[in-house]
Amino acid sequence: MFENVVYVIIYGLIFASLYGIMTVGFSLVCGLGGFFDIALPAYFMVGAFMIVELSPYLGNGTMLIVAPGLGLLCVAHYLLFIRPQRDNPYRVFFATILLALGVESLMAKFFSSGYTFKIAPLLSGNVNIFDVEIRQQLLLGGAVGWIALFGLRYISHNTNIGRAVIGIPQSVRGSQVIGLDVVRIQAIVYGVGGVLLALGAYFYGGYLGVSVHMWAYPLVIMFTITTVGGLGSINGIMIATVLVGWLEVAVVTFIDPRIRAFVILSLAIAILIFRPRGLAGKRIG
Amino acid sequence: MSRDSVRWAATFVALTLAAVLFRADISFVISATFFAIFAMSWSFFTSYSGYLNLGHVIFIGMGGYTSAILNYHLDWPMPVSIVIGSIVGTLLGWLYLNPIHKRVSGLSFEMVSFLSIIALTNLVLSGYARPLTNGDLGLSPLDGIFSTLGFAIGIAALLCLFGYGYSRFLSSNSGKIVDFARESQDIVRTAGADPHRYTGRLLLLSGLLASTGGALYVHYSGAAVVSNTFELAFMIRIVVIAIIGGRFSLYGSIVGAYFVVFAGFLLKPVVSSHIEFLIIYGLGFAIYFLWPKGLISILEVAIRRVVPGRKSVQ
Repeated sequence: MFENVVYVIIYGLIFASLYGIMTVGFSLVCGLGGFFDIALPAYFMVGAFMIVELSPYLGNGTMLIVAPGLGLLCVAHYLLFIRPQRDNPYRVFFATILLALGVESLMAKFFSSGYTFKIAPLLSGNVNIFDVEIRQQLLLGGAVGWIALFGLRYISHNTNIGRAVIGIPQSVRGSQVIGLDVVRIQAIVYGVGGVLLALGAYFYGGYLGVSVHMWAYPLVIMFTITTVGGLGSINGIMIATVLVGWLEVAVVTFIDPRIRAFVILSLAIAILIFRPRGLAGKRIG
Repeated sequence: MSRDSVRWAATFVALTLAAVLFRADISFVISATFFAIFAMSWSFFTSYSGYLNLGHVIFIGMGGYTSAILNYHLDWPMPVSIVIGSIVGTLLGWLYLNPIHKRVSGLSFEMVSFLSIIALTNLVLSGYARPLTNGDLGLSPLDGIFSTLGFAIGIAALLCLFGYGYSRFLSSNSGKIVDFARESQDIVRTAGADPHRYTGRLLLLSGLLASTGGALYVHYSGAAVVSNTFELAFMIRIVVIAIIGGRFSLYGSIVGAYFVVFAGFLLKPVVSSHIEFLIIYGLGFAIYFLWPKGLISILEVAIRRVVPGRKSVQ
């Protein structure tokens, strides 16, 4: 029993960090723009395939190319597809659904849709913590994820741009009146979100494998964490991601792996209905 | 005869003609009509209430699975199963979504409805529901409906009948209140009416067609599985069809469904399924950017050139 509890705590925290870095861009974009960009999880899948394709040539330096590359891709995506229609959340939603499905079809053309690809780990071997075996690579992913999340939290509280990212959702018009360049800030969030998506793709794809359908579950996770934490709140993301990570691993360990999504989603739905602003975000809807 | 009845009668004639002309490939005509039913019922609530309902497949799934369970487990006759499935599906879906739409709106409603279908899919596939739903395998074989010209005309009649009813609702006083509520719920409240009462009616009517379509569809498919009921991909396909056709038009859903199904029909022998989807979604993306009102807006312009002075259709 004690081992199982330790297992839930450690694996919950590791997955929480990975889900957290995958969700940051999605959630902040939601908060800043008031729209859902469904294409972001599809770019997460693109990032994972970029790592699969480039790692035989670039080895350990792959992420130095893929992370900024995906960041730039997300910025280009924002400037080309989102910016022209960012005032209409429904248009953004519909356009990004079509875009995400198109990206999936395109990737399925180049990579067999029924095959799962592997990413070579940076670290091999396991670590034993309180009799729980944990892959070193996964532990590294968890550490990198938490460093990135706390780093972002620091930036959001201690820099002008960070404060702008948190402040704009409170009043876009007010932000523009005091001279904030909302478009530029949204583009920066897309760029940072893209870099973090690449990091998430590296560790998450490395653990579960890479396939053209791998973006569907992260989409659910992004929605859930955004919902539970509240739009545009890094503190909210951090709280929600830990809750979701622990709950997911606890359900898998103690109850039934087949209902993990049902339990997590039920929590998210209940929070949305009874506390639409989430645990730490502004009121939405 | 009212203008709406003439239009829907003409639509029924056009769909019947399409069924007769494509009799050799009648299964495609039936598929297109089913998707038109699902897209039109989705569009009716989403476009006119202002609530983006991503949980529309709850109606389809509840109707489909109820009918399948009655037919598969209890050996009830298919027509009875379909009727009860439609009613139960409508009521269950409405009892779930109606209180939610009263409580939350905007992004929150989108998220709740979206998360609900994924949770339901997970529940249907889980071990707990397996005795009832048969998990991944689904409920099969069911008493089936065959691909016949008569059935194609029958569901076209169902589509047009509901289309006519929807048009009448939208032009009624209730429809006008819904219109006002979409612009501002406060205006409706100030006038002493409860906007949710009217959007709730819209949801009920939308769910009735979707649930009936769902009950028929599982018997037509021969199986009730998540991929033809609750699945996210199924929901997305319905949304894509409505967007391509024209979201703010009941006729647009029919145009979108026939366009997407027949584009697939033409492309299937030539390209792989991935390229087929890429082309269809690419076209959808291009259409949405160039003509945000969908293919129906192009069709309207063409019709207006032939019949000058004609008003745009709902």
